Amino acid sequence: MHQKDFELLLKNCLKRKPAAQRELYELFAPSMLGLCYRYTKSMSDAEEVLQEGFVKVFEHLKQYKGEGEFGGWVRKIMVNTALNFLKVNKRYRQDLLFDEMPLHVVSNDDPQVLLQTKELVALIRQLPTGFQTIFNLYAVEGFKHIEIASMLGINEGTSRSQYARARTVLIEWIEKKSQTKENYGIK
Amino acid sequence: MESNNFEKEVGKMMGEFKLAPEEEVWARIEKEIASKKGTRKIILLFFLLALISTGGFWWMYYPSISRSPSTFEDLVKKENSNKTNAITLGDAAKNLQTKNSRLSKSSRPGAHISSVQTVSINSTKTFSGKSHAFASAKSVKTIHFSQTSSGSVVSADQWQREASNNIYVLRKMINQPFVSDLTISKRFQIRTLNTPPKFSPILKKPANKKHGWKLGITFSGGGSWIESMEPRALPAYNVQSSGFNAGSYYIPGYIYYPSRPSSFQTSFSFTAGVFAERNLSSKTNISVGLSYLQFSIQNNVHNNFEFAEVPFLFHFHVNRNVRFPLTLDAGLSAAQIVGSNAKQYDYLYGRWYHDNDLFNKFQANVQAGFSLPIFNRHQREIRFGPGFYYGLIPLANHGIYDGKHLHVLNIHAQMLFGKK
Repeated sequence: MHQKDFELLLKNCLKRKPAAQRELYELFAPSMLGLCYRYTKSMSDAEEVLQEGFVKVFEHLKQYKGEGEFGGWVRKIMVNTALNFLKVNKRYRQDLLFDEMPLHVVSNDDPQVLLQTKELVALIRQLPTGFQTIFNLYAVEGFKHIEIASMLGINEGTSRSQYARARTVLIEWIEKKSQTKENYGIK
Repeated sequence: MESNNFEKEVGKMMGEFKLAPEEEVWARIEKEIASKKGTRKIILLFFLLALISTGGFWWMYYPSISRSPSTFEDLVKKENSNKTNAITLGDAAKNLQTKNSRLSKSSRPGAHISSVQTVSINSTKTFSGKSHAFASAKSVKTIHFSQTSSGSVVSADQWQREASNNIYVLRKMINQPFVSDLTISKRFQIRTLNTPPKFSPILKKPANKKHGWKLGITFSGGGSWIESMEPRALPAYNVQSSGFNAGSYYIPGYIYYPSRPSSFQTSFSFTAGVFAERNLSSKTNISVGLSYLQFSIQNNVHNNFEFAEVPFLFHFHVNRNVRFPLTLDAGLSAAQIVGSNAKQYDYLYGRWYHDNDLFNKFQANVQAGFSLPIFNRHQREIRFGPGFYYGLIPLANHGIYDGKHLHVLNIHAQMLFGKK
């Protein structure tokens, strides 16, 4: 979509025109649902976060001043909505309680990820919620540990240690999965 | 291999990861946006009503608050400054003569009259051992002067303007017929009073109990429901066919068809509480109270919400019927959920669970209804009437109560303590 068309679309969304809102939703919903899916354990929860996130996007659209990419602004709202959902939802909240643990010696390997995207997402979602959240925030969203600590209300050290553990576990799982695929000749 | 290569690769792959949402998601977003728009309209309507009420209140009380003359002489002086469309006292005296021959032609230079009426006072009231007579002129905007049949002007301490824009004329000599010539801009009625005028500095009667707070108790019961009787709808989700597993809960080879909770059904709700009420005017009362509200709704299980609420209500007297004075009650209440056994439903795993943190604990409700006193001649006032109750804030923003507002249609009963 051209920049001018996109600006017109945003203007119409600001005027609360349903057709424009629908178009904006269709433009961003698939990638944002992918994001929500990575933070949650079920598709219905992911869709709930997506729904809540988009309502916020439309409600606060006038706060977007055109600084930075619009997709990034939407993504930020979705991440915050997902984190809030995890904190509020009892099923996730228990898993978000981080133990203050010392930094363990962990693997610093950089394995090549031979899995398909869907398989990698499935593995990330198998991590306990705390690990999953920190992994998503650091490795995918690119937040710094100090920012993650502030977002989740934990120490920076806890964020680092949790990430390191999540990374180690995930690499182990990736290697196992890759090995299995190799053994069975699956691409 | 470069450091952080893993993160870069994962980030890149996740950036490309997309999923198509169900069509129903957009329908729910659309509905939520519309409901927020509706809430904004309600808030706007409420502020509009508040503005109208404030305006009405000001209109009713402004004359007595800021335009009430301090003395009769002040009023005459004020009116003297505006002689437009006025006739002289000489003309007024002629009018008086034609209307009542008993009226003398005594004049008061500079005073103006636009209409005249003769009235006799029959009723009397005794204060401080002296008898007084009262007359009230309703909807009178200005008084130019008042005059007795003997020709003497009613002195400054013999009349009083009351809040509801009535003029009361006080006479100590009641054995003579009373003639008042008052200037009136609207319709003019003089009526005898059974009760003394309010705010009378002349009579120096004790503080008017009509304007004190009266305590009361209130009970109400009726049907409660939420606007959409269907719980938050979600499509049946087939974990396996979606191509992904459901995280650590996934059981390979198991196709999951989630069940659904049944529709919400109307249930019984009630309130019980105490309140304090006072008169603002002859037409308006206000009340504030503390109540317990149990709001119930039924689906597969019986769900109760318990609220502690502080209602603030205006009571407007709709008619002047002495036997059946109908009152319109309207106002707001601030409520806090203090407990609930309401169950949430996990669509994915098909299980019920309890999580009160999902609810919006603070609730603001708008109330409206009518009240009619029964046993009106009874010493204690007892009122009955229908009422409606609507929650401005949704019960929750998540779960099956997401976006649902409480509605109650009830019959209420109130008893006021203290003599009427």
